[in-house]
Amino acid sequence: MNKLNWRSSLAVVMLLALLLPILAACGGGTATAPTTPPAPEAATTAPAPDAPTTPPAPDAPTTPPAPSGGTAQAGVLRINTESEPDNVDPQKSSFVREIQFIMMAYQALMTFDGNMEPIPAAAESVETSADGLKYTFKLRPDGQYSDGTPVTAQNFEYAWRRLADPETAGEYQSLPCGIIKGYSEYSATACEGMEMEETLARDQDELLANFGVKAIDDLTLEIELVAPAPYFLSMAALWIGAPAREQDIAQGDDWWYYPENYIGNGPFVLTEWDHGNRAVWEPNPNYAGPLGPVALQRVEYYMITESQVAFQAYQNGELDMLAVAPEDLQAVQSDPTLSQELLPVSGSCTFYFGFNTTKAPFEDLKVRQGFAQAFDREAWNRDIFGGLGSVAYSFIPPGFPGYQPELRLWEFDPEAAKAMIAESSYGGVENLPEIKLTYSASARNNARFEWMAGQLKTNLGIDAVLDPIDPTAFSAATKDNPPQMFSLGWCADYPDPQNWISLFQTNGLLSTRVGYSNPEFDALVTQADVEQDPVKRAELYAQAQEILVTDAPVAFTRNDGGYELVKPYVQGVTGETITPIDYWYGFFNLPNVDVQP
Amino acid sequence: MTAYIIRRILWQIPVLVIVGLLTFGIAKMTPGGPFDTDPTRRQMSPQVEAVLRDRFGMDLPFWRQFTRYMFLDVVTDPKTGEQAIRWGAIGGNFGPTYSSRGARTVQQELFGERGGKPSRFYYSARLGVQALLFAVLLGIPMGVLAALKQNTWIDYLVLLTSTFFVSLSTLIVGFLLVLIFASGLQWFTVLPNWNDPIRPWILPTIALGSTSLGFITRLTRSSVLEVKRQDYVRTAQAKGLNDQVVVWRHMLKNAVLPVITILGPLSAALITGTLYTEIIFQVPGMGSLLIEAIGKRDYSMIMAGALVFVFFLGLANLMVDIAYGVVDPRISYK
Repeated sequence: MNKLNWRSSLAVVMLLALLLPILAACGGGTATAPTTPPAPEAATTAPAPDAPTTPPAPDAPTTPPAPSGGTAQAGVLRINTESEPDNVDPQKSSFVREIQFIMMAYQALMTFDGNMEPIPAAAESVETSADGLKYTFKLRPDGQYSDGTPVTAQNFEYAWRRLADPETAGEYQSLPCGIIKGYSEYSATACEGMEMEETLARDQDELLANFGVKAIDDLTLEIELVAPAPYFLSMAALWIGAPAREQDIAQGDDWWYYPENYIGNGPFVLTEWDHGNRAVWEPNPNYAGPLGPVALQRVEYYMITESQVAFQAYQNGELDMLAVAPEDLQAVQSDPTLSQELLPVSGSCTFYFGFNTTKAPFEDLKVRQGFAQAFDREAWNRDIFGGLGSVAYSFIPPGFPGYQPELRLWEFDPEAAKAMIAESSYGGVENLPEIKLTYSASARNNARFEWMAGQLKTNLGIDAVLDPIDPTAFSAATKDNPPQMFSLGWCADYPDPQNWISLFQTNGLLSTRVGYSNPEFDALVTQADVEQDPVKRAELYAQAQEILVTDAPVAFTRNDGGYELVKPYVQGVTGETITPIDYWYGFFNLPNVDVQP
Repeated sequence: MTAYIIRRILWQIPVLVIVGLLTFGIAKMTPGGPFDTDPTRRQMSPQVEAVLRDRFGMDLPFWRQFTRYMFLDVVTDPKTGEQAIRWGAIGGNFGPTYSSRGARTVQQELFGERGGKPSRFYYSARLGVQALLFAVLLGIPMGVLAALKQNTWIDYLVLLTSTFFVSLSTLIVGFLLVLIFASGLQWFTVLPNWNDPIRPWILPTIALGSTSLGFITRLTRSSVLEVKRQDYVRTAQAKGLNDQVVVWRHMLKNAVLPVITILGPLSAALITGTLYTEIIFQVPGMGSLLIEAIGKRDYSMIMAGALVFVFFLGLANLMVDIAYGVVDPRISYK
């Protein structure tokens, strides 16, 4: 090797290295990207063009899952779940990445269909009593765990009791408070704030005797409610009621860490979990339910935190689906191959600016209304978020029951905004106290809110102070001592207006952060929550949402959304069949998803 | 010598305690806590949070929290009423992690086998040792060579390469390797298959070792250059020793001391896990876990990260000091 060659190749490497920081910088942030959601139309991919009639490789001998070694294999779907879940115990989990795990292995009483309507899953049918207070679930007679033992009503009774058990202290423990009969009494720590010792000192047998979830026989489960809750079937589809078995849980607090204990009745079985790296799922041969029969032979979850690495892996054919990071979107759209693989997906979140009504100047309705129309949402979504997602004028996002597209009270109008503030008790923009905009700090967010401050400056002439704080500290601040003006969002737990609108009832989860309280709104929501006529109920929520938007304790800004890259050989993952609540895109269309490279 | 080693090891204890105290104080003073999660999702209710705070002893006075973490606590069995001593970090018990809501302990996460797979510590340590060997075994000869051939093209090439590696972060070298060898040449996969005992280790070892390689090369070169001008080297050459002996016996032995000095902190840093390399190459090691813990305010994991690092730093420094004695007979231990 002569000198010259050495030097010239070195020069090439140097040059590359100079380019790299740019690439790396783009990679930066571990996606704050809100739980991607899915949805929309889309390039009806699923071409499966000449799907050669290769019969799905005869069940690959269930030896240790062969390394996929970078090439696509028939029946194997490889996706990125972005991080290792911290805890996948169904009754203790709350994060998207955790739920994505749980719902592979377990099946709740209900699940959702392509329209996000709850449909029976582990249950075969469900009957609601005329007064809406009692739900009788008939379980599937063929329901089995992956090890072949039958799924019984007792398993579900145990799961719901465990959710309520004060000792469990799961993150969603308080969700059924005041809904299921006897739940608040038994789970007094979570629902009533009782001290643990006091809670446990009571007669537990009696509390359990009054607990509203009862196995009548092996295949009949009865759930009694305190008051009618038409959204209860959606709640029964959540992971919190997944029938984790007592014998598995008895293996220790971290029973879920070991695949051999993670035995469920869901469509897949966890066969390998290389923690922090990947998890491998194979179809549950005993699965019975609407998500089967499963065509895929294996699903591999990769836990890639760095989006640039994941993007390389996708391009290299080592992943079959991938959420596109906002920074990569342009590159992808201008790439002739990749742009053909883009699938737009809609989100399950709505973002907003919160105006703390207990702090000046936002105690004044006119000021809030002025601010709500003082920025250009279209430009915000288009320029700052690259057009991913959509603008929002109300709380419930598109695609979800309760969405009101016509409710666009505060469209961008700087003149009206100024006039509105002039009408306020402050008499004009110039008299407003200092405005401080608090948000969760990240490189991305810093740029975003610079832009927003620019809007306030241009449109209102206000010099807003930017106040970025560390994400965890921000989260604490919005709970404990909400800032004057801040940026926050909410993502759906389940598809029902109750999951959104009720949060703004007095002392609700979100209203407390802005100090919002309106008796008229409260009354409508209370009425809607128990209304059994779906049409009337929808109307009540719509009225409530109008009041919420008018009162403007928050100004809704945008709904998330994005693009998923899907390799052309992945079938059945199309815009028509995915919903914003799929655990991974295509999940609720599982029987039709396949990989045929 | 033995007394010296024992004394040094005992000295580690107060150092660990002080580092622990500082880390604990800083972690606790930082706003936000382990139960403040993504605010766009449903937050745990204040009541449930109170139960967990109580379970983790987060409402105890600061000194109690620290001592029970660091040293020991007397716990009463709620059922039998029996009292027992539960050791803290000095007994190897780093406590339950907050992020798993108490289901797993820090020592399980860091040192326990992960369901049939080696521990995270194994991945970090093996990668660190490999990177260190890569850097030393390549860096010292390159440095010596450059110094002996000072101002020739060999020297320039070595200097250029080592400066290149020193100036680039592991992050960039890592991406470069992925782009060239995985995406480009397809010699490796972007996503590692850790069931393979060798392949997935190659690129991360090079990436992680690259900065140290550059550093060691430059250090060796400059220190050999210095030694080269010493009288004893001239004497050795004058009395007709052959070049091999001069270089290996007389020059290198003296030139290598500064290199040994930096090996201490270097090996501690490499072995306890390095964030970027682990993230880029999907290494299930300790580095990424410990860094994530800061964002999650997983106090017990943060503490363990600091303590484990300081422990290895002390250990590595001790080994360096012992190595001095081996290389340089003038150094004695009292």
